Amino acid sequence: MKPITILCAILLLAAQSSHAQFFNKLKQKAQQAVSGAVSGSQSNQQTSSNNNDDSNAPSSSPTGFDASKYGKPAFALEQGERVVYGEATLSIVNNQAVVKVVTSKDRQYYLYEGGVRKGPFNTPPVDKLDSWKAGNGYYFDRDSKETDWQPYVVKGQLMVDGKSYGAMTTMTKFYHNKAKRKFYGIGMQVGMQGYNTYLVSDKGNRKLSFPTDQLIISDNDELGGVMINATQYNAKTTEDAYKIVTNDDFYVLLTNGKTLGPFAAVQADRTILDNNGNLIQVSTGRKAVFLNGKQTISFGNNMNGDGKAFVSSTGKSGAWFERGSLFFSDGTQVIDYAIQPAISTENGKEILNWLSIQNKQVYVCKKDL
Amino acid sequence: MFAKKICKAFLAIVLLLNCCIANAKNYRKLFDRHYQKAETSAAAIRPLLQKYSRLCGEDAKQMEAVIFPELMRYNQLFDAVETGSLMGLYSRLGSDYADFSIGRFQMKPSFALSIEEFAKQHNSEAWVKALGFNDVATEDNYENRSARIDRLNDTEWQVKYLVAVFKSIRLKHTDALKPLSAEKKLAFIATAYNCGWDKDAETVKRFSNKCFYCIARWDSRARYNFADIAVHRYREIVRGKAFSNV
Repeated sequence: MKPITILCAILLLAAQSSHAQFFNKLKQKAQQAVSGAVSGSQSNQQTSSNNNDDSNAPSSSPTGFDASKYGKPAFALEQGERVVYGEATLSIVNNQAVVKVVTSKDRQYYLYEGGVRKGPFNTPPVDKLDSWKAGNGYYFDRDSKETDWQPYVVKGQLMVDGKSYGAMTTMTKFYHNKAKRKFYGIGMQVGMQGYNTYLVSDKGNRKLSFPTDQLIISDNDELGGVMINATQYNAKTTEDAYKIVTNDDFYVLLTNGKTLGPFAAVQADRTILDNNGNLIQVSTGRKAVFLNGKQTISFGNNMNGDGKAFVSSTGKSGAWFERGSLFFSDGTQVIDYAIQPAISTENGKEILNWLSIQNKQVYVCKKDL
Repeated sequence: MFAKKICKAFLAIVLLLNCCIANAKNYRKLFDRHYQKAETSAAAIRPLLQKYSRLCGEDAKQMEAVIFPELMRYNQLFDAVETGSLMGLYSRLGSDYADFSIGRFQMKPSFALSIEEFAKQHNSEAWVKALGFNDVATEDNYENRSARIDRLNDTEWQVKYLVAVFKSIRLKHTDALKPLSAEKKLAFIATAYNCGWDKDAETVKRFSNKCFYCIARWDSRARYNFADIAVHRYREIVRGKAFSNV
């Protein structure tokens, strides 16, 4: 073979490697969906009939859940048709729940979108699901956002996105979203007179009465804040500021100038600031979610707090989602039947939407939040 | 002649570029804060690793090393809505789902079931009773699947599954492990854990130099060798370079 041919082949191989990676991801996702669909028909025969929604036996859920109480079927499965269970999405578009589900029948695949059946496809059309298109936003670092602060303190000045935010000696916490040009941090200025601590952000600096390292940032990176104990927040003297009070009340100081609290101490395993500025604390020990300091939602004993809170914009009500179950602040529970919950707003009311699969039907369910 | 030399040089460069980075020396520097976070997680579970490894005659350092790559991935891969939805579906409807990873150790229900069934077949082994696998039911129904999800969400049970997979690999792959040095045994176990512990030895060996590991699923950066990371971590622990007070 001529050398030039070999060269071209090598160049082609190198160029295709990045495309190959992308197509490998698609192929991997499709293969997972195929194995999910194909294996179902065999394992189904082994499952007991009282919890298998695709069997011919009368279906009754272990928990007595009735999806029709919460919504209507988006579509019904045909005879022999199965949902590829890993591939069902619900997204909110213009405050409407849009449902996309991949199904299989006779080794062909179909996509239900808004109740309309498309296909058949030879491979699962997973690239048409919204979760696929979400790209990098689909996976996230659990609750914590951090950026190395050192490159941002230049000759004693905090410099972010080409602008100076004043003298700064060190940062105890820092996070920068370059795409949005938003940043949040806790910084310290040390001088001859002593030191000062600040909550810093692209909105400016807010002086703190005492050092803290409890920085919280909303999921959409539009809001940040710090938690500071009440004793330190209210301290008038240095002596007061250094008092240690067990299980002290606390305040939340936000970058928009607002102050929340005081709230009673919660031994929280997770602390989250939501996009509306509500403080969400999850206590695994108490099996509870606290909204703005108040115990609002209780979840099941077999839950370990590794879920997601869906909270009204006022922070007065909400639901906790974990392991396919929903626990509402009014005491309503949906056990094992909830898929892909999402909040929409209808006629000024906040609604939690989710999918449920029951009796060969895919329901779009909803409940006021 | 000159063209031949160019071709050879090009081939060498392309092979080098396409070669997986299997021998990176400093994963601590490479994975940076992911590595540091994983160390914090490792320190938190170390008492449990030591407890159950002592109970069953295993090496806690080896177990920590094998699980370390998954600890780095845990924070990056978690999605409460997707994983939560799949857990509910699995409990109610069984194994016709896209297999998904749970917990710090990123264990899948299919993995857990494979260990439970192996333990059942070897119930005369002391570790089976010591770890509580003699009481685990494996019939495919809602209660057992829910219980399996409960166990996989519990750190202590994840450690038990980890000890059990070490025991299972040693039982299943006795002949393959026998001629290997201590470090190569660790690499084999790590590979088996990652690619499927119940695959045959030849398949495990074929996987041993493959590079599929990355921190995030959509990460377009280079891929690394799971066992190589585990061995690197083991060396750090043994040489006292691991931060034990994080």
